Amino acid sequence: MLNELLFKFATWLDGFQSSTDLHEALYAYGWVEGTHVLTLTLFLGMLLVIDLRLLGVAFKELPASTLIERLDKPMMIGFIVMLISGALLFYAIPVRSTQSIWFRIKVVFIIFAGINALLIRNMTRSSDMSWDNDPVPPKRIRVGAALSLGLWVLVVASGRNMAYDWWDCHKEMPHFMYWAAGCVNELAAFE
Amino acid sequence: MDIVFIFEWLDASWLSDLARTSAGLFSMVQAVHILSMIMLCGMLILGDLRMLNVVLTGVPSDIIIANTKKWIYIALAGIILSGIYEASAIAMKLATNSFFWAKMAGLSMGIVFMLSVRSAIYSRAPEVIGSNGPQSDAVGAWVVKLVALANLFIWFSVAANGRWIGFS
Amino acid sequence: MTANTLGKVAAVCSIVIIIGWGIYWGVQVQDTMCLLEASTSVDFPECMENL
Repeated sequence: MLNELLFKFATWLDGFQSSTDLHEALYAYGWVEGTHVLTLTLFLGMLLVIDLRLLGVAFKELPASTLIERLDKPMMIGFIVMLISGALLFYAIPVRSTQSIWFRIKVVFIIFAGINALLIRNMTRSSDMSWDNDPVPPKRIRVGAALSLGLWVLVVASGRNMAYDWWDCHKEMPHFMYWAAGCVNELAAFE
Repeated sequence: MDIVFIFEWLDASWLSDLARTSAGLFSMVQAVHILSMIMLCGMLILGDLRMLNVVLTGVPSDIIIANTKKWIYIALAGIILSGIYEASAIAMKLATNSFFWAKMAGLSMGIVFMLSVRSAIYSRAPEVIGSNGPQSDAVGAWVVKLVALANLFIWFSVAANGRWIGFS
Repeated sequence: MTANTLGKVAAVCSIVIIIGWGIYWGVQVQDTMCLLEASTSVDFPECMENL
C-alpha cells in the first residue's frame, strides 16, 4: 500500500519537465550534488565536534553546553542546505530514488538519528548540567553521542551506496527485496 | 619529470585488482573517504570560523586549535589511505583527469599551508580574535582572517574537485 | 621572523591562493553556464568552442 503510494508520488514528480531538465543538465546536477556532499562537512563536522565533546574525548577543557549552544546555528544552517539540496536530488531522480533500498535505509537511519538527537537534547535539558565542566560526561550522555555518530556514519554510507545498482528493481532479487525496495511493477509480476 | 609510471604501477598492482573485483569493500572504502573528509573539513571549518570570529567568539582560540590537531591528522591519514585504494581502481583514467590534478594540487597546497602559515599565524592571533590573553608578538587581526579565508577556500577546492572527478 | 614579516608573508600567500582558486572556479562556473546554454538552445553556442 505504502509502496504504491510512494511510487505514484515519484511518478507524479517525474512527470515535471523541470525534474527531467535537472537530471539531464549534467553540470547543474553535479553542482547540486556537490553542494549536498560539501554541506555534510558543515553539518556533520559541527555535530562531530559536539559528539566528541559529549564522548569525553576532545575539547575537554570547554564546557559541553558552550559547544552545544554555540555550534547549533552553523550546524543547522548546514542541515537546511543539505535538506534543500537533498530534496532537489530526489526531485531530479524521483522514481529510482524511491525504489532504492539504500535511500530507504538512509531515511530510516536519519529518523533514528533525529529521535536520538531529541533524546540527548531532553537528557541535557532535564539534567542540571552539573557535569557541564567534567572532562567526561555521564555514561548515558556518552552512549547517546556514540549512537549519534554511529547512526550518521550509516546515513553517509547508505547515501554513498545509492550510486550502485546492485539492488535496483531491474535486477533479479528475492521477493522480500522487491518489497523492501518498493519495486511495485516487479511485485505485481509475482502475483 | 614524467610520473605516469606511478599510475601504471598502481594500475598493475594487487591493490587495483582487489579494488576492481570487490565492489562491497570498495563502497565501504568510499564511505571511509567521505567520513574522513567530514572529519578533516569539520575540524578545519571550526578553527577557521573561530578565527573569523563567526563561531565560539571569546572562547580561547588556542584550546580550539590544539584540540582539532589530532583529529585533522587522523582524518588526513584516513583520506590518503582510502584515496590511494580508490585511485588504484581507475589509476590510468586519473592520470589524465584535470579535476584529479586540481585536487592533488589543492591537497598538497592545503597540507603545506595548514602546517606552515596557518599554524604560525593562528598561534600569534591578537587578543581581539584569539582571546588567549595579552600577546607580545601578535599579527594583525586582518591577516588572521585572510589566512582563515584562504584555508577554507583551499579545502573547499579539494573537496569540490574530488566530487567533480566522479562526473568527468 | 618577526610578527610583522610573518604577517606580510602570510597575507601575500593567502591573497595568491584566493585569487588563484578564484580564477579556477570562475572558469568552472563559466563552463557550467555554457553547457546549460547548450542544453537549452537549438543553436550551437559560441562558448562551446573554447570548452
